[in-house]
Amino acid sequence: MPEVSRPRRALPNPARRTILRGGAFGAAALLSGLTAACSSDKTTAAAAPTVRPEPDGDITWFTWSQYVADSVLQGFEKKYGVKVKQTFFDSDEVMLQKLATGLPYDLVTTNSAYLPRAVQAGLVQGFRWSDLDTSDIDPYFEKPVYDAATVRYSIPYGAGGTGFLYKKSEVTDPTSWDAFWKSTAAKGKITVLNQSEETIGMALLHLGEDLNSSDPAKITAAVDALLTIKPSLEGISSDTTSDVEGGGVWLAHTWSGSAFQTLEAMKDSSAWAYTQPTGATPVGSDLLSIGANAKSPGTALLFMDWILKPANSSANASYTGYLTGTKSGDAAVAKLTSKYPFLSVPADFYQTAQWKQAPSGARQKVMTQQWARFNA
Amino acid sequence: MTSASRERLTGARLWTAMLGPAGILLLCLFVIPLALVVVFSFGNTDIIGRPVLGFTLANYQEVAQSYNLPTVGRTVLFAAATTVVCVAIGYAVAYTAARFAGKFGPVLVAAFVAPWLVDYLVRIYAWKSILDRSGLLNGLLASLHLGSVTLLGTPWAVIAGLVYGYLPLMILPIYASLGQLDPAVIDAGKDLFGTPRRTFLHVTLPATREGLIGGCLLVFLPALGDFATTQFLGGPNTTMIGSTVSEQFLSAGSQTFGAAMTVTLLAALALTVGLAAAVARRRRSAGEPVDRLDVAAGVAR
Repeated sequence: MPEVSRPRRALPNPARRTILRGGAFGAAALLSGLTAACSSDKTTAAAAPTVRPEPDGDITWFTWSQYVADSVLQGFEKKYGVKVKQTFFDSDEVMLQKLATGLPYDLVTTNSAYLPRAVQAGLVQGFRWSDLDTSDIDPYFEKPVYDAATVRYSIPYGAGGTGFLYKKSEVTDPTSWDAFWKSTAAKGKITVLNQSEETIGMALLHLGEDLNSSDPAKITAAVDALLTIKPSLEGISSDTTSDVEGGGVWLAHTWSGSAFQTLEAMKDSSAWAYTQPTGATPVGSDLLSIGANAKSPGTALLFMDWILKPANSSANASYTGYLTGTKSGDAAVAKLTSKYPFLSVPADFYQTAQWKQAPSGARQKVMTQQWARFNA
Repeated sequence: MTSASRERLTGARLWTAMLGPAGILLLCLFVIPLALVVVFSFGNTDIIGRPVLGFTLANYQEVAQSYNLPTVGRTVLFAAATTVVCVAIGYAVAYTAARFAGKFGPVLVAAFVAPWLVDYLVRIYAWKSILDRSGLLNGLLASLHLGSVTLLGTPWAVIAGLVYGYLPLMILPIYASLGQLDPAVIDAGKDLFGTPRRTFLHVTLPATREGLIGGCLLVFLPALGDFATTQFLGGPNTTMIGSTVSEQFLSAGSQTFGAAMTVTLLAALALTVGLAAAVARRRRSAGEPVDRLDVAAGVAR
């Protein structure tokens, strides 16, 4: 099963803000690198959490756009008399990069594949699991592999698989990733996700390799395969909703929740379907974490507790189409499956999923190089 | 020391001091960031992909990979095509404004430059909504029952966007050099050569060569480094060097590679400009005519 869920993006890809950030943010990132270099960049040991679940001011939430139900947000603001200001990113890599510049985000939507590195680099702060009401949480997330130490750094927020959304009449072999290589009718109307581990991972699965392979030869072969379909691509984009709405895309590599939101936005979605290839679907979970430089970590922790309340997690799940890692939220997703069967997951989904790992170390190097080769 | 010379000295000091603020600004916003880019182009990355100090040539080896060649070739091609189109349109506009528009000349030039008052990204967004599949152009074609065209994502859209973006930089220097051209020289040329075409080729064009070369540099160089146009109007197969560099700076773990690309591009640009300047200097010292009087003299010879 595939990867993490992504909410749809509000802006065309590349988002205007991405462009605007290019310069300023590149310089900031370099400066932060210098700081890291000068301070010998010791990774933080797991210190005892200091954050208390008490309101200590307004919070800034660094997250995907359109990724929370309005009612959930407004309910929190009203109950605690604080404001939640959202600021958006449009890829996990951008999230990690901006977090690394030391900006004071109180709350961050991290991801199962990226959290371990963020923890190691001291970009997020720990909290006490006992400070949250975790009674509704799925047992898997009591101690997930990516966050299994005594000090905890995350709660689950939105999980799902990666598959593809397609126009039924135009796509050949829509049960496997081969669809991207065989659908000649959709030539020029295909998108792949703008995230290296997703798109290279999809090509690895297409070749029958491991999703998280770190073998340079296999990764190179995957990119060779991707280059054969590159002339057929309309774009390398994670902005599925607007890509498909524009009418120029018939086959879109995307996440289950994005597919749900795209189909929900259509007047008539009967010509469309979404597939997650059996046995070859990457899975991931978006998480909520508290930024290392948070100004109001107490409010952020309270917000996490708020998100875990059954009424709120089910409201969020119904809005985003993503699993929330809570019994109530996942039950809310189950209710959507009568209209969207692809959202249905087996009872042991989290345990048996092919969890996607973000590249790190030597694998990251190879992935970065090969992703540049694909994009050239 | 006389009081007059002291005054002169104070004046000189004052002028030097006034360079201070601009110098500091330049140092902070240009020299230091550039130095950082150079330093990190030799650096490694830490666990989350932040650049750290070090010495490795790996980033430059990555730049030298053959898969970057199509991007380089495409970028040069797009920038060259943009320059050629800008010369054609820019010269015509500047010539019309300078020679035939009378007192409306400046107004005509201003009309072409006015869009520059609007933010670049806003203008590119406008192009996007015009060229989009469901955009204005296709809406117009559909209402005329002429089918539809796919322009967004093609090289044509990117070149059109670049031309639109940089055209004023071509018009202004040509307009300035045409403004300095004494119309009497053209009349003299007509007397000597007869046809308007020969006069243009042998008198007007050489006399405005400086403006033309300036305009070409002002268009070609930024077009080479442009990154936003292809990101908005291009597709997966119109990647340019600038957009590749900007991708690297936004993506975890590849800032050092992006830095190496930046340094390589800068070096190549500096080399190009340096060579062009050297050639110009050689020609000048070889006694070729460079101003309009020389041109007229040359023509008369």
